[in-house]
Amino acid sequence: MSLAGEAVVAPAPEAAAPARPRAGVPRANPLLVLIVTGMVVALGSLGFVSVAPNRIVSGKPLALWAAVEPGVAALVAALVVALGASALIRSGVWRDRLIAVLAGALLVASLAAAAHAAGLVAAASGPVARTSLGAAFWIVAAGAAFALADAVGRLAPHPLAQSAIAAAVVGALLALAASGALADLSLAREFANRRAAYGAEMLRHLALVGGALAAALPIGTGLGLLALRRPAWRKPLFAVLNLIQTIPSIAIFGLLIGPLSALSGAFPGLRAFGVGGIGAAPAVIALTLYGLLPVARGAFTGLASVPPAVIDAARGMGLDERQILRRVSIPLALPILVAALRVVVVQLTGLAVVAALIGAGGLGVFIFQGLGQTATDLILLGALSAIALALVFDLVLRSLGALLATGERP
Amino acid sequence: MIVLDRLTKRYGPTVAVDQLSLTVPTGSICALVGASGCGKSTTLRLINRLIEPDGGRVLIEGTDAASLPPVALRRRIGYVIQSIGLFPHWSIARNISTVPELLGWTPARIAARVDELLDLVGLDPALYRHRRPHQLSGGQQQRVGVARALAADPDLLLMDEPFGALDPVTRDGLQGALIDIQARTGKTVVIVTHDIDEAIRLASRIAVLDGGRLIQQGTPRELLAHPANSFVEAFVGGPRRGLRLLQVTPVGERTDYTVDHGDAREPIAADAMLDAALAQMVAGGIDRLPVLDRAAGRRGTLSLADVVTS
Repeated sequence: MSLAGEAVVAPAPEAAAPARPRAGVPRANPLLVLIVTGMVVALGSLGFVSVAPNRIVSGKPLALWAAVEPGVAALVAALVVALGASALIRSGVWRDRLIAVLAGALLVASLAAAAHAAGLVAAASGPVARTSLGAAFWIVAAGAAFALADAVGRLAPHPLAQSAIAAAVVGALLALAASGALADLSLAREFANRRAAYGAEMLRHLALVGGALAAALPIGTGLGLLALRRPAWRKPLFAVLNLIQTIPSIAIFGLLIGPLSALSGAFPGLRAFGVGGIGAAPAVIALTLYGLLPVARGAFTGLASVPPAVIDAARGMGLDERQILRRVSIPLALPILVAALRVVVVQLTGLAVVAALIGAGGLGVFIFQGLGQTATDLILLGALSAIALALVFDLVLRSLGALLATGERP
Repeated sequence: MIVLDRLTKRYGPTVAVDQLSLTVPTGSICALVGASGCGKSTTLRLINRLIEPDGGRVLIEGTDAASLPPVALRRRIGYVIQSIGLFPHWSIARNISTVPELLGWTPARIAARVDELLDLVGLDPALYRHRRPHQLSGGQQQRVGVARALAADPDLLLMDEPFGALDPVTRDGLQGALIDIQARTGKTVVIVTHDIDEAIRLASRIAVLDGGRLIQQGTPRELLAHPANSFVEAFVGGPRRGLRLLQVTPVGERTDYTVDHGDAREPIAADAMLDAALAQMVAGGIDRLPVLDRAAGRRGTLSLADVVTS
């Protein structure tokens, strides 16, 4: 193990040293040099995983070379060194391809190494011991993801190609998870313990977002059209919608408890539909309120971006108002409308986490349970799931927007 | 025939169009001219009811435009604007077929019509049919704009400064194309322009507007020869009015057919305008030109003195 340790620590001066004399050469990628330096420092000084005797006790950090077999540590180290070296190659397509491949491999390898460490801990200390992802892992993984995104951004400027590459990376990580290789990680154990609840809460989360969208899209679009057709209403309308955005989400949930309890108290029949001070109804209402501004603003901006001459020509040729909207304005505004939809969906996916506080369920349940039990990995399970969900929505809608924009506009 | 009968449009205290009456005979090109803000564009948009009048009426072939649904009315009237307003997300063919499609023509009839119109405006259908508007130059786009306006074969064409945003060479080409198209199709055209030269070249009748009122109307020659007041005189050219008068006076009118010098030079046609004759004299350093009147089969002579004095 000490051998592997040297292999990791040793590259630090080597990786940094060649960079310095060449610092003045503009071809080196200074961002990547910075990222790799950070990785090396993190691997040398911080725990790659954190090991605890049981779920509740906080763990002790374990460095990479102490946590895994020498071969695995050497692999991760070699990838870090290679990534650092590639920062010094002449810039060009091949360098970016190399960086993308190395960063992608490092991302997968570091996760596999952490899982491997968890397997060793489980074998040595029994099934109660917990292995969590450590600070060095997060720094290496985040750095690799960043280097990958940076290289891909330069290699494939088209959003569709970027989405495809992102999907491939996500697919590789999912395949790793599905193979059972990650099963000994504390995060995976938390998931395994709540497998049934996880599916239900995920669906619940989607239902909250979907319900809010179903209300916010038509209402917000209507408000956007109103702002477009009645300039006098524009300012007050957006002032109110902006005001709603500034109210903290917990405050809105709190504010809704009073009137909704009163409502369900006065009309007990409403309870059958889930209307009450707590639960899904106030959550969906609050999420809808938050969704209104981006939807209305997107609809207004999109439709206002259609050249007035085109509308004038359409009207002058004898298209009626509905035909102008359907055949001209909406198709021309579509890229902006889809972009607005993307913002709303991602925003609501994140906000819906808080809905768990008022008993509406969703992925936030795991976060608040984890906070209550001081179980960091349970918190992570909820948070990472919500982030992943938002990223998937972002990716899908970004690709859709790119598809719609292709060839549609000059 | 289009009759504007005491048309009035007010915006608050401002009177944009003031009791304007005007008759445009079928098959003629009528130019509405005046400085910006004189109400000429408003008048045009009152005809296809993009703006509703506060008073007066518009009669199209005897029918009150107000009695027709605006959408149906506009589908019967071609409309061309300065900023062209092609639909950027549609191909050229689809742009042109907008109104026929709304009218429910069969796809085969629409396709044939699109090709016919592209030919008419001087664009090769095979080359341009499937292009997008942004792939065309400004002049080509406006040719498509004219084709689109003519798609459903309307009897009336309204044009709001259609060539105002084009460079002089392109504008000249499109003016020629419009004269040609109008001669072939016999459309009634109402064109708004602030360019008096464009009006003189295109229009058989010119209406001069100022402050929403009709100041004078007549043929280009009437306006140039007898401006009703100093405003019209200034508008039609001020000191250069005489030169413009040459543009609208045919050579035949000033030719002495009793004299034939047997000049060896190529004769000028009797239906050419005096400005062309004068240009030839200046360029050749001569003071007389042989004239050939093909229609009447006679020859004569145009002298510099005859160009100047009527």
